[in-house]
Amino acid sequence: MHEWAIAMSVVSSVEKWALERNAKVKKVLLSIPSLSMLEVEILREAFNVIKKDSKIADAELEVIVRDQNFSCRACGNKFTLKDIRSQLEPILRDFGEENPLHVVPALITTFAKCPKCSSHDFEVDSSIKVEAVEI
Amino acid sequence: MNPILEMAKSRFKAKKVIAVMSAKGGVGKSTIASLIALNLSERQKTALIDLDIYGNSTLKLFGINKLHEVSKEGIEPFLVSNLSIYSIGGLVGDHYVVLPGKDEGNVVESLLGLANVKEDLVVIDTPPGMGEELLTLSRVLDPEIYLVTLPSKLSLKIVKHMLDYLFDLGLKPKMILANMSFLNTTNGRIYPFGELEPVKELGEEFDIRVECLQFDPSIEEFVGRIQDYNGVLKEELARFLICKE
Ligand SMILES: Nc1ncnc2c1ncn2[C@@H]1O[C@H](COP(=O)(O)OP(=O)(O)OP(=O)(O)O)[C@@H](O)[C@H]1O
Ligand SMILES: [Mg+2]
Ligand SMILES: [Zn+2]
Repeated sequence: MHEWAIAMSVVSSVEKWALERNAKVKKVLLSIPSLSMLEVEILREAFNVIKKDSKIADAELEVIVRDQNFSCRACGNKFTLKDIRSQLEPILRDFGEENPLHVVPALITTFAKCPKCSSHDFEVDSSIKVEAVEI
Repeated sequence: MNPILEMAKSRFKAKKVIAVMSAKGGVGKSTIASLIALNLSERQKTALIDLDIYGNSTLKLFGINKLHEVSKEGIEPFLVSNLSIYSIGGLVGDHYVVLPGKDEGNVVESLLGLANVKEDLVVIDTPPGMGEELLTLSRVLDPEIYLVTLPSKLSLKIVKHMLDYLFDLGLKPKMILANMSFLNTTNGRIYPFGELEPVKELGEEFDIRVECLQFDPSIEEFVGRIQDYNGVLKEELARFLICKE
């Protein structure tokens, strides 16, 4: 559901950026981490509704869902979301739709461990970012 | 471009934000932040944001053990009368939190960006120390700082470092609160940490108002229902908040 809040943040930050440069935005490239399980369709729908009341009403949203590379700081192991998927099942089950990783993907180290050494101390880029703005 | 950070910044831009801080742990930050927020909420709708992502003391003080609802507009608060409360504990539930380095900052940033804060008055409870949470907080907003300390030598030494740091950043706390300064007993007043001169001198050195708060043993009964507490500590804080204006 908070896809709408994210879309809102994207519209307003790109709008601010565009106003500062007096630019007409054609396309916004948004990159989201796959572990956030954000729904791309809702993001796009929300973006298209919210942009109408902004200065970037003609902008199109393109969403890239990033597959993360995890890197363990304890043992050096490199892994992917696939390797820890089974660890995440209980959270998806217990919390339902609004699970903590969906809302705050940076919480991943709290709920998952390195599949090799069981450390919570791993690195992953779980940010939501506007990668590029086409004008 | 980081849209969540931008959203956090614009959300708090026009709000009055009070941050309760201390470099020292266990000095009463969460208790004081809750009581300040409760006092303010008696006059005006107020938000209380718990940035102590490991302790989540705020939820424990208020006896909240539910999860935040998440709506189209973001993270919805727990409501206690006129007070809206937000905490990472309301997202993770009864689960410990482990976060290496800058993930701490990202979590704080997400909470500040996504919390659907509508109130114009915001109180923030911070974790002890000068770590990521504090850096992130100053990235997002410019709070009025209430610095909490005990009047003990150790606490004052640690808090002095924080004052040096804050002054380096150009931030001058509004007030130093010397918590647990004295205890009123039937046999007179006891000063558990000795004289209050050192804390007053610290205030003079940095030109910051110092107020001494008493030790109130009855607080313990109100852990889990601090919203029902109307004792001396809350009264004292109300007085300081009022004479400030
Ligand atoms: N003025 C007071 N009188 C009596 N007890 C107090 C007072 N202030 C705080 N306490 C008690 O001291 C303990 C620590 O308080 P609190 O958790 O608010 O500190 P804190 O600075 O937020 O700790 P932390 O650094 O872990 O976040 C609690 O048990 C609280 O009830
Ligand atoms: Mg605390
Ligand atoms: Zn490992």
